[in-house]
Amino acid sequence: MNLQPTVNQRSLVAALRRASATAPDGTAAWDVLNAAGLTSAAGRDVPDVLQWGLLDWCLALEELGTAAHDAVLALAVHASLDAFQAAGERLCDAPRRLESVVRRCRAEAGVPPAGSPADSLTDRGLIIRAAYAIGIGRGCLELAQARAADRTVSGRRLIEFQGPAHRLANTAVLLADARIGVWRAATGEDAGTAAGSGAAACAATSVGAAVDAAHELVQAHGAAGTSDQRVVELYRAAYALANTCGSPQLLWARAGRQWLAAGASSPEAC
Amino acid sequence: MRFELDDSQTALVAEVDRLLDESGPDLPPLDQIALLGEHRLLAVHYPVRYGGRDLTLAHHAAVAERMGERGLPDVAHLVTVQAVGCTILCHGTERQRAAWLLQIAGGRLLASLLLSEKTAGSDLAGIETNAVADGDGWRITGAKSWSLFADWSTLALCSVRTRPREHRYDGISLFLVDLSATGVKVSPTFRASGAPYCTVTFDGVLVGEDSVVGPLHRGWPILPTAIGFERMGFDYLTRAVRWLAAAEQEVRRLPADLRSAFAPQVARLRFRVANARAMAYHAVGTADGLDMDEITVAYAKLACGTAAQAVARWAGTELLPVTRPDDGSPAAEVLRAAVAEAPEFTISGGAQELQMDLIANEFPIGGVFR
Repeated sequence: MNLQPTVNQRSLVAALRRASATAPDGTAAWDVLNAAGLTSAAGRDVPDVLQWGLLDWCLALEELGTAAHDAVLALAVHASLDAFQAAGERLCDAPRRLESVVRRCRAEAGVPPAGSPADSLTDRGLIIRAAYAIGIGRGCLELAQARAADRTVSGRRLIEFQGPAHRLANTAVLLADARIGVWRAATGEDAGTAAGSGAAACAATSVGAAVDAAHELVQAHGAAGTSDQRVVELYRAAYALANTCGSPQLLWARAGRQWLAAGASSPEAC
Repeated sequence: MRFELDDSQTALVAEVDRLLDESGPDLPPLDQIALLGEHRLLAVHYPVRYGGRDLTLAHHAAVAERMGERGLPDVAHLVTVQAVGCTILCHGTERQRAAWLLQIAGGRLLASLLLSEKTAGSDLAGIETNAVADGDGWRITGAKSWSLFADWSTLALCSVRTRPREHRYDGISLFLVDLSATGVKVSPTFRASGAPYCTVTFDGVLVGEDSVVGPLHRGWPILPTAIGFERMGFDYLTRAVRWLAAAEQEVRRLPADLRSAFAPQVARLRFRVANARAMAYHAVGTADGLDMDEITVAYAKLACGTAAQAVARWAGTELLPVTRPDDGSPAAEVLRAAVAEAPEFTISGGAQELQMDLIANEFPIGGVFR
């Protein structure tokens, strides 16, 4: 087994990190992808979105989630491209097609999806949203850790107390578990193996981990966290994930139904 | 990324299966281990001259996982090959390597790691077992606790205080001790599940000066390495996989309404165990030779141990209460034993708190898994 991203995937993440760091507050995820040069193949070493597999999208969405960039348009574009590919169309030769896809998705971006996302989203749609949720959680965790390292309580840095330190560690473990689930499901999908119950499991685990991380973020700040705009923004973004991914309970119900239907042969069997 | 074993690892696992299948179902576990050793499968990551195949730690993990799946006593094997064998390989003298490694890799002896004491469990610097110089050697006195399979072992790697400490971690040395030596007593201690723990008592046991592994009085830095070699999480992982399979088997025997009610939790446990397995393989796959990153290992060990505990806990609180205790289901028996054994998985081989300390000290936290 090998969980190392490829050189291209590392470059993709690095480009997004740079673009995100200089993007003004409120910049949408798609615009960060644009700014990073990842929506056009022209003159770039890193493959653009037309050449991405699901795992590439997941790595990108996690990175965009850390700064809580609004991902509605990016997710819609991914869904459209996925639909084209599922229909057997070659997209890498059609950059103009991407422009029309983005235009259409932009026009439809305000329309809420029908039904509960836990039931209506495709498996691939759940996996990519799970990656975004992990990004939100990671943003919370890193900000919480930074605060715990700075904040002094009773003459010691907060992170030197075992209680807060272990809560942060536990959050990191939950996020790592969710991330590996996403990588596993996305890698399988890219190789032609359906994620099955693993897709809903990714989403449920990721939303849960992100909400846990959001609470740790506020806790690390103390009362100040409830009046810190950045903290409140991330906290709200974590809870909004239940609207975009579905409620964890409904997602687990879906995963359970899929497990029952698949019998002993479901793909995430150990 | 790749979430399956590679071709060479898959071939090794197939070789283990073929050998053990051909040996028949009645071969006792220790003979199965010796058979694998005879074919250089027990420590494939050791150099060829010490009975291995010069392969990677990930190859060894693939073999260890399959041994566990086949019900071989993986704790005994992992402690012998990893904790004791790898410590000798990395920190022993050439004479010590020549004396012991071929026997270990050949499955001809089992060895124990004797660190914990009644008053020093997770706090390994708090030991009281001591050794005093006697002629060219040392005499060891004290008692080591909570060791598994020491009664099967002929050799132990033992932490001992060899001089009054100048500071907390000073004055600790590691000794290789022949457990058949005069003055060694191995006695059973109650354990909630499975084979009993062993308490190993040393009553002025004489060992030679060539028994010291690593620097005299300054053995402390070697201790985390020795534990780390053992702490790959694969022994927990094989339990998690076996217990999960038993739980699924039991759920599928239930009436439809209960099956549906339990299905979400089964999906959750399957997801968690599969992720833990990927983490464990990631930890060994990124090792530099035998040197694994301690933070990555901390994640893997926690993930494997807590995933196994989650299966046992769910089985104990939800599944077993609705199964019939008198129908002789082997899967239910596996799960009852799991409930008893599971608490050990966040205690042994470095307690959960130690892993959490390691994880929390990384900055930015979580960096090893992205």
